[in-house]
Amino acid sequence: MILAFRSGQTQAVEDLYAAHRNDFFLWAGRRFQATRQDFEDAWQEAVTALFEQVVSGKLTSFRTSPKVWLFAVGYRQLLKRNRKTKRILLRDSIDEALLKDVQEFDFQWDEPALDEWALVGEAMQAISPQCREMLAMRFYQGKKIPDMRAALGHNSENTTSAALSRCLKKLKEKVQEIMNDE
Amino acid sequence: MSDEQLIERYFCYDLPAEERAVFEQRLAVDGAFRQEVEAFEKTIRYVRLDGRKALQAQLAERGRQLDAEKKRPTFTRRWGWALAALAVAAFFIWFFDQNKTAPQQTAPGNAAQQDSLKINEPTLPDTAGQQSSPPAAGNAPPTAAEPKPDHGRQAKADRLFAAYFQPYKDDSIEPSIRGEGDATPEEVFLQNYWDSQYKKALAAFEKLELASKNKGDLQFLQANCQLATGRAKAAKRVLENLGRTRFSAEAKWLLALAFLTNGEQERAKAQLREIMVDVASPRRGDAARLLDELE
Repeated sequence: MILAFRSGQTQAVEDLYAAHRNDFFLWAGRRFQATRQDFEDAWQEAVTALFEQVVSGKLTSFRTSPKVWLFAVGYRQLLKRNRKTKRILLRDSIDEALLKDVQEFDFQWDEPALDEWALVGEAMQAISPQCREMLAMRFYQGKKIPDMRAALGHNSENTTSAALSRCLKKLKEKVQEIMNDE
Repeated sequence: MSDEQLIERYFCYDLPAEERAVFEQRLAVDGAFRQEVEAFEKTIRYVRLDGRKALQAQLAERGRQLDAEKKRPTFTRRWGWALAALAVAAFFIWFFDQNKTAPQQTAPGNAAQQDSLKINEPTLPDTAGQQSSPPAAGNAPPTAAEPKPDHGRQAKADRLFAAYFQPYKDDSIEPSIRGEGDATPEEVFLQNYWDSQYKKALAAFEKLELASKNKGDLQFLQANCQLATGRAKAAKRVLENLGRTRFSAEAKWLLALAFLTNGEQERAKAQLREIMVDVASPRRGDAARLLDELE
């Protein structure tokens, strides 16, 4: 799974999301009084966080299992996202993991403010959907140029690199413009 | 290797540990280099946030598929139970009928006996209708809230809007309140939305705390309520400034419909074209069909 994530395979992320989603909803439903939507948000954030931690090289192995990691992070997100979420006091393996392996889950989940999301939207509108996809592949999914070339059907890696540079340059100019306006 | 390539590799986590250490040392002493890295960092941050949003939209779509798949067997099971109940009822009717008709065979012309069969005939519950029919309020075409310049053209747009618009619902927004105590304002809003009480849902939305009002998911549902109650202009405003939401793909489709019913056909078409090129959008087919009808 870690190898698949590191090579930017989002299908593997989807599969992991689907594999334990129902269990998480059942587990969280026994511990929190919250809506299904809250559980969905927390689960999505946990899966996304796992992907980001692996791609960035901050998470290279699990002390327990990916499932425990996801449940522990989802649990933290539920508490953080909605302070009014009522916790039902129980204790199980997830609590044990949270207490014992605290540093494994101790990362900062970057949650931008609404106005920053608006700026992201504005900047990304300035480039084509193809550019968006390429930049996400390289800088979010951490895909290597040869893998990108294969996925995009380019003739050579040079073509991929050149296209990527052009997209990046255009976006940098737009971001600079936004920063100057601020 | 140029500085740009070096920075790119740094942000792609491609630099080995020793090269990374050299990079960070240079960052600490070289002001111009640091400035270049900082400009790059902001751009990469935007790319990553955009990438995260796309990944979460992909996961949300998978979640909807999973919910839909889960619903299908439930539906079949329900029909299975209904058929079993029908078989049991038919057996009892036949059994009692046999017991009653046996002695009466010597008394011909008993019309009441024939009637009793009709009265007792069981009927299947119309669960299919309940499941597949959208709520009446949701399907009601919106009233003309804003002035429309070209009546013929707008009448067609309104017809198309009524044909294509349906307030968004899936299992993930079904309220599931457990335990005791009063429902929170968010739960009241969601419950009204789920029950297709769109006016009440809008009133409940107004009572939400600011933090809740800023949640993209709830804003998306608010826009649905506004479109269902003929407030296209307000819906358009909400959708154009929507916060982060897992319904972003659906929101784009909804915005196209808001443009359409608001008399902005060119913007509606542009929005539909954008949806059509978005390979991850579940509304690509709808967008193509609607665009075809508009053109």
